[in-house]
Amino acid sequence: MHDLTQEDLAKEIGITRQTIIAIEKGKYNPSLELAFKIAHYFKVKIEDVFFYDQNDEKTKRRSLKVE
Amino acid sequence: MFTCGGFMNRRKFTLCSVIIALVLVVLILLSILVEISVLVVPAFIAGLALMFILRSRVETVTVDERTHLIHEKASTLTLQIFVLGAVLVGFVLMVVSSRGYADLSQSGFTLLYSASALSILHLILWHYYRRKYGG
Repeated sequence: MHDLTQEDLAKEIGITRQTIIAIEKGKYNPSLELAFKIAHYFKVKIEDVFFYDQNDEKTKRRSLKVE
Repeated sequence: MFTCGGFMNRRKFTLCSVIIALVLVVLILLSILVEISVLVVPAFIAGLALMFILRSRVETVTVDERTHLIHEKASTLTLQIFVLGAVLVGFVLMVVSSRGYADLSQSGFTLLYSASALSILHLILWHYYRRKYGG
């Protein structure tokens, strides 16, 4: 929808591409600040990008998918 | 041709870092073999300076909150492993020395003192950061 690469998003937000990959895979839970930054970048609400899965306490998987 | 000059991406930076580290290792090994210990410190400083310059030329972000988290976790585990290992080995050396098998009490004391010093430093810094972040 945004025709955006992980590298572009990482550069725009000021994080590494590896962090984007880790968030996508559910291996890393971003801080609230970073979650807000990502949501703000896409001009959407934070809950449109991330969701908290109570049943999956361990991974707390969030849905972020970038090309 | 591959060069380490100009602005670079992270992959190029990593490659340059590996090359610098290898050169440093070779230099240190050479200085030990040729017994010119004077070379070690300048080579190490030059390597660090070069890394610092290269890092400022990296286009992409190299450090973020995930990197910090990785460093924190690695540091904590390193500290725990070192302190535990040093205390264990230190006690073993002290026991071996006290039973007269070998005179390793100095080494034992050094390990125990190092573990204590590291633990105290960790405790001081822990209190400092706890206060800093309002704990």
